[in-house]
Amino acid sequence: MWRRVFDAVERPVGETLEDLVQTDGFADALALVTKLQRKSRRGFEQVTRDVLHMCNLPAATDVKRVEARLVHVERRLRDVSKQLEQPDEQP
Amino acid sequence: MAPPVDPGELLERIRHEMQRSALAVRNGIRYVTQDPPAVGQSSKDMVWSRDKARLWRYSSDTVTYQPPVLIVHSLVSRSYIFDLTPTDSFVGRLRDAGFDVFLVDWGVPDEIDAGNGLETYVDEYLPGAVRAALRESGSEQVSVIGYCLGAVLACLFAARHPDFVRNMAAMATPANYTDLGLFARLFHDGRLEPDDVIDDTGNVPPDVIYNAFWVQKPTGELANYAGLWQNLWHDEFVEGFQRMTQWVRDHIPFPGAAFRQTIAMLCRDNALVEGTVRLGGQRVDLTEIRCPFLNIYGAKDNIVTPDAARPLIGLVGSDDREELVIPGGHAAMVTGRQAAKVTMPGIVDWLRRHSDAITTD
Repeated sequence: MWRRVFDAVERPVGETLEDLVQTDGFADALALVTKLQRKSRRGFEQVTRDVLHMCNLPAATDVKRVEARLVHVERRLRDVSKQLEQPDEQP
Repeated sequence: MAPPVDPGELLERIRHEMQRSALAVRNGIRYVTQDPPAVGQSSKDMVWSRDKARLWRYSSDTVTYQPPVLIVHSLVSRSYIFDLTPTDSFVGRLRDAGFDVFLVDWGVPDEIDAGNGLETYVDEYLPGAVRAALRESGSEQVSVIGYCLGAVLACLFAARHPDFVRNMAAMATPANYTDLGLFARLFHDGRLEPDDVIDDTGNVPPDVIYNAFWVQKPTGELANYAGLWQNLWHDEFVEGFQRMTQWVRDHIPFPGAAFRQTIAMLCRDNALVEGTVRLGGQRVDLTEIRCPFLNIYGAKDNIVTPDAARPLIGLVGSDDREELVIPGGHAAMVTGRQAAKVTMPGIVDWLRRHSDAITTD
């Protein structure tokens, strides 16, 4: 019984929402929200970084910078090992 | 006036309902407290690896057809989707039909893989995996089955390295990006740039991918939970629900460089349809695919819509090309009743017609 009531409500609501999702207006709104989220995250990061740096403490961005360097080294290592492996891969 | 109720029948109905309620309570507690059931349990061996990519070979004592079958899955999902349960396993069904099955598993990309472009997969990982499959099976060619974005990679590979490929089956392939619904509206029309969704690791995070799928059917999850509540007494239903939920939620990061290429080339330039795909500075021409070709798509697929997948068959150069339309959605191609009744019989029949039976004498 409850399932029939649920389906009777869910299907028309669901179909309306699914149609709405495919409109340009929804795409505009979603794009705006995505950009605002990114901007606010960046803004928050900047504020917390400034505060931490004022106390002479490292911020997440500093850790990320070090991590990026390690990643760069690891990528270079991967490239070099591939170049060394290549002669073995010939059929 | 209502007909008189047989007391015996009434008691039986009450007993039945109480039994179901007890099972529902037990399954509900299990659902909340226990880990989801194991997936990807078929016996397999790793026969090749490069960076995070792996090639699995599924154990079989009864290979009756050659060439072997190589499955190429998407860049945003995990490889276990092809092996959800012992009774509902894409690879298991192919293996039981007599094929030697290999599966390329891309692994889970991290910062180090953010620079992986489409050519990393098409010109580096796939040739390496195929060479390993040929070496292991003693065959000279493979039949390739690609799924979703994996089918795009497989098609580009087949066009670039046609000598390796005996047969090519493409499932739910996003070929025409102008008909990809919300994705096209967001990226094709320039509302979003790739960097708007790429995070600090240089990849598109899995939650963005999950949300992109979720938003296409906003009440879908609610309806699924209503189904779970209704069938909570049914052990198999609950287990299947858990596995499907795991699949739907368990995405992996999309390597940033490959995502940028997907948006700039495949989406904005619609390069597969326009024939302008370039990888590593060289043009990739899908008409170079001349082997037997099977294009499979779901009539109700809201992720890779039929309009996005249908044109692929007209882009390849094969004389022998067929189409298989599944009366279901994106996942129904790989798992569930539709996969068992339509997709798998269709693929197995097509593969058998285009493969060689191995005779024992």
